Amino acid sequence: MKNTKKIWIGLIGIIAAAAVLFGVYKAFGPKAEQGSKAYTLEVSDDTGEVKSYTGRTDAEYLSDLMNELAAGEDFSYEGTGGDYGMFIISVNGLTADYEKDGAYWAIYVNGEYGNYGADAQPVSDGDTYRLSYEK
Amino acid sequence: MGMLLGVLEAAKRALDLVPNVELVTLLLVIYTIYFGKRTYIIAFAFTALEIFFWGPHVWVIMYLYVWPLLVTIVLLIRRRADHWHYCLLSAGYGFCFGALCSVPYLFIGGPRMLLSWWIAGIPYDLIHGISNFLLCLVLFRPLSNACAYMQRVTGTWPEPRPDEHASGSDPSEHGA
Repeated sequence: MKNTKKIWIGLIGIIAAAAVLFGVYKAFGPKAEQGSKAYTLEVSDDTGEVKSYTGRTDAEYLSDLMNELAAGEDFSYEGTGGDYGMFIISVNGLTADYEKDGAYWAIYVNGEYGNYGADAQPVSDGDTYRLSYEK
Repeated sequence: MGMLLGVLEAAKRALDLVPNVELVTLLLVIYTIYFGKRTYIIAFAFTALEIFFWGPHVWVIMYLYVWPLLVTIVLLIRRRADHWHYCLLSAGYGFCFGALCSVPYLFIGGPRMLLSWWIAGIPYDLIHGISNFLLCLVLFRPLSNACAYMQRVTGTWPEPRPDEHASGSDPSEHGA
């Protein structure tokens, strides 16, 4: 009887200690951090209509950010590897066929024509990227 | 002593693949019950072996006081403690392991670093404590019996058997 009481007290002590530790961890433990960089990604289609995506990301390159968006939001794209990096074929279902009508997807960074392909364009905090359907 | 150290190191290596599940705590508890203060030598030699195998790291500083502290606690309670007390000690030691090991970070990065290091490791401490408890619950008696058997066969144990003190029966007979 005495032993049974001792076992119960011990078990309750262990469970209480574990619960306290768990509580400390939940209250003060590391939280999943938001992405460190704010971004705006705009998609300008063939009618000039612009759709914007904003958020925070840890993506290193624009293509990583586009992959993140494609995984979670109303965004899709297709691209292919080219001699000068990723060549964007379609965004949100709109395909640009250069050979057919000279259309292509251009990348703008903070309003200026981008120097890199999506897979080489670094993502910086506060930048605005635009994928623009152009002819 | 060398054989006991070998068993300790082998047990450590055998469970290296399972994070935070280890037999070092239980073995040191049992060694201390039977070997008394000489277990300090095993604890320090174990740390030396770890340095030899892995090189000097921050955790070496932790080992220098964490294991001797365990030996000290067992030395203080062994006259009156039974199997159940050692199960509780093992669990508590696992729960507190991260807190104990975080002490060097007080000197490296201050109290903030100590706290954040400890708190980040709490899930591992929980695994450590629970696994220590279960291992002690299951393996204490067989290991204790083995030590008692060796004691009978060799008669070379340097410390008086625990049952030669006022506590009563052989520790292997102790139960909850």
